[in-house]
Amino acid sequence: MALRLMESLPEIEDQELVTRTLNGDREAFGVLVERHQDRIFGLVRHYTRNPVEVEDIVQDTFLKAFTRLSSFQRQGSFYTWVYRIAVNTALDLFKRQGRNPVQTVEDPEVIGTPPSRGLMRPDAQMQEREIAEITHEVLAELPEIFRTVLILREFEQQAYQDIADLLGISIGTVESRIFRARAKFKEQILQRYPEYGQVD
Amino acid sequence: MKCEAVRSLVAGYLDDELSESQASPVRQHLLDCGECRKLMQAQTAEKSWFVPTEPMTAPEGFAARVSRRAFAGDKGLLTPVAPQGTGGGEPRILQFAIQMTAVAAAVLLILALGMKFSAHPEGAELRADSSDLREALETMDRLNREERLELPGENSAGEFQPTATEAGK
Ligand SMILES: [Zn+2]
Repeated sequence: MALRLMESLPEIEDQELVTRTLNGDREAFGVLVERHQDRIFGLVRHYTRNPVEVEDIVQDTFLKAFTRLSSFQRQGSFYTWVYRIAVNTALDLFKRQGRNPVQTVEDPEVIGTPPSRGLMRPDAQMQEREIAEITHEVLAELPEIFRTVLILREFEQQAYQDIADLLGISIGTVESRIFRARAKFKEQILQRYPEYGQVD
Repeated sequence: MKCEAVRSLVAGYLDDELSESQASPVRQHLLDCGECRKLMQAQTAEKSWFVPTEPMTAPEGFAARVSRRAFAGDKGLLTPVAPQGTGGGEPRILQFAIQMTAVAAAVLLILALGMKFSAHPEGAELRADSSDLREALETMDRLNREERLELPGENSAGEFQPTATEAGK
C-alpha cells in the first residue's frame, strides 16, 4: 500500500501535494506523510524512548498538519513546517503530562563559571547503543528548553539559524542556550554517573 | 577579548557556527587562556556523548493510516478538544478572542463568588470554589497553549480567508 502510493505519485512537489490534499485527495496526503514520516520519527524518538508514544506524537503531528494545511505558507518548506509542529507537539505533550515541569529561567551565572570538574568522553569500548542509552536518559532529566536545543543541534545537526527559526528565538539565544544546555547536561551526567568525572 | 565574551561564543565556535571574523579572536583567546580552554574542552567532551543514531523507519502502513484518519476528521488523540463551531470561515483570531472573552468572564464570575464567600467564610464551600477557580485558570492556560500551537506557519500574510460579508462590499 505504502509503496504503491509512492510509485503512483513519484516526482510531484510537496506544494502540489498540499494543493491536491486541500482539494480532497487523500492519496496526495498519504504521499506527503510517507515522504517525511521517517525523519519526523527520527526526531521524535529523541524525546521519548517509548515507541508507542513516539508513534502517537508523530501521528498527532501529521493530523495537526492536516487540519492546518490551509495556513501553510506555500513559499516555505513543507518539511520545516511539519518539523516545527512535531517539536511543539512533543513539548506540549510532556508539559501536559507534567514531565520536566521545571520551567528553567536561563540562569546567567552558569555562563561565567568554568567547570569545576570535567566530563570524560564515553569509554572507547562502549557500544554506540549504550552511549545513546545514557545520553537519552540524561536528556530526559533536562528542562525542556535545554533538551530541545541539544536534540536539534547534536542529534538533528540543525544549524543555529534553523534552530532559531524553529523555536522562534534569536540566534544569540540559541548560542547561549546551547552553551548552558551543555553545561547542564554535563552536570546531570556527572550526578548520575560520577565515574565519568575527570580527576585533575 | 574578554573571557566573558569568549564564553558566550564557545558553543558556536565548537559547532563551527561563527564567521571567521568572530572565530579568529576566540581561537586566539583560547590559546592564551587556560580557564576558557578548559571550558571549551568540557563542551567538547559533552558533544562526544551524542553519537549518531541509526535512521528510523515508520511502521508499515503508517502514512495510509494517518491519511485515512485525517480525512475521517480525526484531529489526533493528543490534540486538545477543539471548541464547537470552528467550521465557519471566521478568522482564528476572532475565535480566540471570543474564547478568551468567555473565559475571562467565567474567571471574573468565579472571583466575584470567591470574594463573596471569603467575606462569609464557610470552609467546605470555599474549598469547592477554589477548585473551580483552578479549573478556570487551567482552561485559560489550555487555551493559551492552543493558541501557541496554532502559531507555527500562521503568520497570516496573504492567508486571510475572505468571509461572506466581504462580497457585499
Ligand atoms: Zn578566558
